[in-house]
Amino acid sequence: MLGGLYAVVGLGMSLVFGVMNVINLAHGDLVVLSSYAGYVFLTYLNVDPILGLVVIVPLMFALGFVIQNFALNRVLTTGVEPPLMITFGVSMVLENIYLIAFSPLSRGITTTYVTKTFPVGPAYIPLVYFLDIVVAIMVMFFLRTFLSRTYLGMAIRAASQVTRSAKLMGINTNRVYSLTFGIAIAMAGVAGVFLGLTIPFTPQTGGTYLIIAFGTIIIGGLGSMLGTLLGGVVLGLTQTLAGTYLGTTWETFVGFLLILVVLTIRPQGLFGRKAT
Amino acid sequence: MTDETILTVENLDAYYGSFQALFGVSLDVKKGEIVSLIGANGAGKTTTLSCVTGLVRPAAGSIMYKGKDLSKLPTHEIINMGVSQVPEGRGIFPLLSVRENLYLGAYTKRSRLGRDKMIERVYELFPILSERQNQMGGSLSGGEQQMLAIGRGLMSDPELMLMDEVSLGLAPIVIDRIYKTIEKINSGGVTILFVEQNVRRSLQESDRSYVMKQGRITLHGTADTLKEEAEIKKAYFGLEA
Repeated sequence: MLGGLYAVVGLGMSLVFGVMNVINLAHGDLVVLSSYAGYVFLTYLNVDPILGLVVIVPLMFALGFVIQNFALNRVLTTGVEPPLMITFGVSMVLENIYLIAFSPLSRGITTTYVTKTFPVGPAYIPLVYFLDIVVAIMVMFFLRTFLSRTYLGMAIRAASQVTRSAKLMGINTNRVYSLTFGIAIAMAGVAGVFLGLTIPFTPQTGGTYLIIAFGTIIIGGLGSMLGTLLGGVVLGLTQTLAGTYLGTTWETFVGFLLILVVLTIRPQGLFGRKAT
Repeated sequence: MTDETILTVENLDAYYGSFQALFGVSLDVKKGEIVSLIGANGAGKTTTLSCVTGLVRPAAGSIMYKGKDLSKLPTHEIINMGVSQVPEGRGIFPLLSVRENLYLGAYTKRSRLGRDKMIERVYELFPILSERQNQMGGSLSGGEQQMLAIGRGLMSDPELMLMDEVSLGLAPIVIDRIYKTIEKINSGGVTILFVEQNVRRSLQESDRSYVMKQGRITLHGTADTLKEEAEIKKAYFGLEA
């Protein structure tokens, strides 16, 4: 059920990569930023983190917009490496801020409803897992509607296909890029709060999420939203099952193994289009 | 046709890195005219158009459109002033539907409200686009894609349309139809500056022509005077004159 959130994180990454051709190495750390934000809301402000989303999501959007607008847009025409270095830099700065502000100890967002379970047949499902998948599907549905129904969504798709033509349509591509990055980070923000509610996190967790995002995209296949959702679910389930039957230390290993197997057998992803 | 000049390009220099693509290019287009820019591959035709729409920043010179200098404005502002460019190679969005491609043509603030009216006009000019409106842009044939590119360029209800090599890779019968439509667009009040490699076609379809060679304008005049100029053959080897 965590897989839905993995998919939301992965979708944000693939959106950024598809439109700007930027691999955002800070994506996982930005997810964790939102987890910490949820933690701060609950622990210091005594506000429910889900309620806190009202503040967190716009802030995450703004942060994404600013990173793209004032850093990445300036180097987009200079090749692949400079944007990569910027996102790597953002990642390092964030991880160290977390270390200073929250110590290297593991944190979790522990609300009263996190531990609640409800029965489904013979099994008991934690309520929070149920929330995770519902929220993930809602976010993805929202993104899909936005991309297919609005002028801005159309402009984002156009800019990702033929940049030169997009400019000639009168689209301010730099602005579209900034908004796209903002949207991707806002999605990471939603995922971050719910991931924080579900599993504990440390300043280094961002790296794991980054790999998970890559894995989700690889398993699901680039460019297909349903594929990414299923990829996330497959990866999430595999990890959970491995954790239950082999022990939690095996989770990441089995996840990587799955990615390797998919890459070997079906490099375009389980549900992806064949590269042409 | 009036004597009012809509576009004046003066002493344009442009570079790609250290390679100089344009050397002091000057040309003007009057309101209501069809003007052609002729020349071989690499003569600087596309670069000249791209300077007008801000895709390429000129190093020197000025581009005056209706009394305003375009040379320092970003592309999206230039498009919003009523200039549109049909790009070389059509530049269709392959994974957007025909209708979405056309909608994007009316993306600017200036043209968004008139979108539904313009799309009717485009469908009237190119009925095939209406039939294919739900198909992906990339699934169209070359000729249909060119029609879509022109239709999309028209969606912004432009005053000045720049067209880059609309005949490239198309069958003569399709080219005939496209140029007929361009005449129709022009008689509807749109000023047109087009780039073409085919000399005979250019002279036939335009009021005036500029001939480019190696980044410079080498000749210019009305179609009739240019036809007599033997230079045109020298300026342009290879294809028929």
